[in-house]
Amino acid sequence: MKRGDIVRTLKGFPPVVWMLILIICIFSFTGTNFYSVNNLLNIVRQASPYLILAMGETLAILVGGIDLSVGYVMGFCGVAVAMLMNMGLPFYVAILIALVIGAFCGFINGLFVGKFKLPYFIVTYGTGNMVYGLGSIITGGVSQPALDRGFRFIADGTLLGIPVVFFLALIVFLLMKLLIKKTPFGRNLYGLGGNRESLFLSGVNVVKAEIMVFTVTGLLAAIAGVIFAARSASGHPGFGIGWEFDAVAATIIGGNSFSEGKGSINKTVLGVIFIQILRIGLNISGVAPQAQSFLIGFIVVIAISIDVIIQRRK
Amino acid sequence: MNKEKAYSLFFEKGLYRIMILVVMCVLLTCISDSFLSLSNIMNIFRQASILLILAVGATGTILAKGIDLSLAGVMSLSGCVCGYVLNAGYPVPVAILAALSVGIGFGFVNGFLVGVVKIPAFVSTYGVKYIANGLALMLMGSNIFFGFPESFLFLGVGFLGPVPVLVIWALIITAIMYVFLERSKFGHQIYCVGANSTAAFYSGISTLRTYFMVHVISSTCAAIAGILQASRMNAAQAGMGESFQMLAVASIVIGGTSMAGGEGNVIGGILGALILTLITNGMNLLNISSQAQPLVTGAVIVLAVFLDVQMKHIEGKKAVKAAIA
Repeated sequence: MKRGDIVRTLKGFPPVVWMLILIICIFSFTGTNFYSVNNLLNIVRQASPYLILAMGETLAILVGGIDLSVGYVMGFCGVAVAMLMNMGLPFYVAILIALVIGAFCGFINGLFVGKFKLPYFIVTYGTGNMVYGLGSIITGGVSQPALDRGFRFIADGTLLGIPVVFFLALIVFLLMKLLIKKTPFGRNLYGLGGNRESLFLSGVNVVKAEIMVFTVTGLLAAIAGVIFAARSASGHPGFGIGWEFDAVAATIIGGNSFSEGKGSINKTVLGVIFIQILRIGLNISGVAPQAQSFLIGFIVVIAISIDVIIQRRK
Repeated sequence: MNKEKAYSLFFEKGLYRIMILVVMCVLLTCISDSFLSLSNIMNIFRQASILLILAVGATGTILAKGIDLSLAGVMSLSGCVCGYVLNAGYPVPVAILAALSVGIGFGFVNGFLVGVVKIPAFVSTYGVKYIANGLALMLMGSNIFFGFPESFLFLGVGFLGPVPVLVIWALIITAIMYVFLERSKFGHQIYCVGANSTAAFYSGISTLRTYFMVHVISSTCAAIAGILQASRMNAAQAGMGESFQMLAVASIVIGGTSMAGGEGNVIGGILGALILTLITNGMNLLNISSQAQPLVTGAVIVLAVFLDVQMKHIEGKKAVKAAIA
């Protein structure tokens, strides 16, 4: 490998990689025990549901839209799984029903934006609020305990010393890769974001394709919700509020584009890791919670700026 | 007036929104005795005022095909700065100026990120929201500042004759924004940039200036809302604007301003703000629990957007038919 090749490879890395290296360097000085196994496991545990949610958001963004309901859907599915288990259903049945509910929410979103052509931003906000309201009504705004042993294993269990959630995130990631690379779903996904007209003219049912995309987004939100409910041993309709924007931020920081149907879920993984390490790093560096909100906002804005500027140069 | 004209007025000019408002009022009057009381009506107007100020301020950002998700953060921070300065013993004008300059400063930051760096508006403004909220938290901690001077409280709770001062502020700002957006050269430029920024750029409009302008206006209005909220509540604390964020955006969209940019108006925002306030007020009067309120608000937002898009669809079909004939 010649020197020029190395430079070219290095330049080919997305900007988020460099920023990631930078913050890891900083935190390894400021944070105590940044490299401890505990801390790494912590990052993995927190990042897994977040990654699954963000992959779903990436799909919505790749078709040129956005889904603001994922956070609320996540909370609602957590509530659903907790309440179903409290009604005496075995945990796997409860999980299955929760996933169906999430997919159905996504389907409704898809119907609104795909069939009726309503603007993504405001409709998904509206449906998200409806789901949240529904969750608040059936729970009365009270946390629903989810203490089932098998269920808790999802969040607390380990396989070969590695948290189960990591494997879950990995499986979902690989399945998504398969779905995007090997099935018409992926082709339609990029077609919807890139050039809807030509996709339609090549005989694809555009409406159906978009509904599919949003259904998968809802399903992924449900998976994230189930994992989060297992982690916190309870379900509450407000659990996912704000996550949707973290998911959007991770997608964009990773270097996915909003407008051109370009990008991939690999980039989202990098974005998610960046934001997770940032959060945990600030925590273990002993930054006051009041300042953390400010710093996260500031660093995320800077990171996205750098990313956007570098992408444009290319 | 012939049928065509009535049709156009009803659908294209958005008269059906006024009808929705009237129907809601009639329904609420029938259901609840206390709805039509003077105190309740004044209450509705007062509640709608701050939402209206935020909505008309942010209309420009949506017309320019963007959005301002930082307005709740800026509103909180300005309210907190205002309260902080007042508590430190400075006179009222100084506090108001400090809060307004916070708003203007954040407007420039948003304009810079959207116009110069060219980050999609709702990502950049959302990041800025974290910054503003974080600064408010750092300034206030978990404290609540209260006990402001009488002259400051007059801004938010005072009356001029029978009319609340708050409503007067809202009307003044709405009037200014109406003239600015719909009667001035700059306003037309905002519409052009929102409809097609490339075309606007090549026809000599400074898109950069437009982005700066809409964001400075939006953040300034958010700062005004923050000051008035602090005055109305006689308290300032971090996060005080949070609940207004999506309500403001929803007011604009229910009012018929398109998220696709370049289409919409200020007056619709008034209807949107009133409709949303009426929903909350009505649910309170009917003793519907606060838990059900997001469900109803969400449903109304979806329904309003649905109606809007369907109306435009019908219009489009009519236009095609007319063209063929």
